[in-house]
Amino acid sequence: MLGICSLFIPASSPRMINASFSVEADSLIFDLEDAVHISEKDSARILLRNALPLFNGRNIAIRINANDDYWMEDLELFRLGIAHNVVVPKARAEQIKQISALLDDMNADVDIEALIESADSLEELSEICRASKRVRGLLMGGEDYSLDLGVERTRKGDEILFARTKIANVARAYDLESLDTPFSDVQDEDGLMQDAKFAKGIGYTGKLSINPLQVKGIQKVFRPEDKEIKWAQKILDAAGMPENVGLGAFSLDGKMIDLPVIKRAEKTIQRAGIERNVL
Amino acid sequence: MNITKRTIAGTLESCDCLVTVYPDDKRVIILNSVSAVRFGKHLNHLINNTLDDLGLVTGKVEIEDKGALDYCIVARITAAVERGVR
Repeated sequence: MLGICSLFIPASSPRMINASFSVEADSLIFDLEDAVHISEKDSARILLRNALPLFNGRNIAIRINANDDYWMEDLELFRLGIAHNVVVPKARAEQIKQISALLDDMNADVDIEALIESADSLEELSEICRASKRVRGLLMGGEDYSLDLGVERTRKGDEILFARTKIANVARAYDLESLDTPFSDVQDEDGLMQDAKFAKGIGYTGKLSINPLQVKGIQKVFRPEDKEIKWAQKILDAAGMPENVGLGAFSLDGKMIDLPVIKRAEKTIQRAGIERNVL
Repeated sequence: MNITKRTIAGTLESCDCLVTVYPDDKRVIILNSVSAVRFGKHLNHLINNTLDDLGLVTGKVEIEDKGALDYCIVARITAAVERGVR
């Protein structure tokens, strides 16, 4: 699982790797794919292999290469046992099966996060979700997706609306986390907040980030507010009271509480990262 | 293991180092570092240990350090040497 905000770090850049030591993103994705020139794949892999032990205990992912010539070597990094998520770019069901089988052979404790970046990937979303029990999340890659469609990428993002909503919906259907595409204009803080709120509103559980400056804003949008958490805890406390157990619905502070409301409260507590025995 | 061709790894950006290796009839290390005054002894020790671990016998290794941390120096030397012996 990547959590609410996952930050991409170019695996070829010591400066960016060093900067990420203190970034409080929910997870870090070290990128061996688009951020690394084809002539530097070997060097970036070696750099990451040496850097990873410094991140022991953090929630770490590696975006491997899509190209068969590279991703098998990239997977070797998971033998270190430090990164527990593999981000699969341009994900396809068949490739997920191959990666999953290799991870099984390595006996690696690694989740798969499928990055959806093409019309073909979008068409086989359900197959991707079913391709391996390791699949824990669907990620939206808006830049490559719009490139694949042959359309211009805009600030508003109408061109990726269908894919965005479909990914959020399918992720929900398979009980997976869903992280929205990064907002590419680092200077546009208002745009980021609007974009994150929109993503949350259509069902995403979090958002990818390309700059440390975006992390806090994304977390603020997706993390439940204190009043939401208190209300959720109150609902769950009430639902566990003997007089309410077994009822289809009960009243709390004048509001009707039924199963969907209780489930929503459970989700709120989960998103807040609070340990609690859910009903 | 011997360096058979000139290769490089790394960059001259801050927090990084540029490692260039060349063929030579003995093992030679040239270090230019912004941290040499304070950390020269440590860096020389680190570089020699890394080359020992790689089993490098002959070759000139030139390091232009721009404040790289240990993990980075080890990685860039490793990459340059691996490329230089291929």
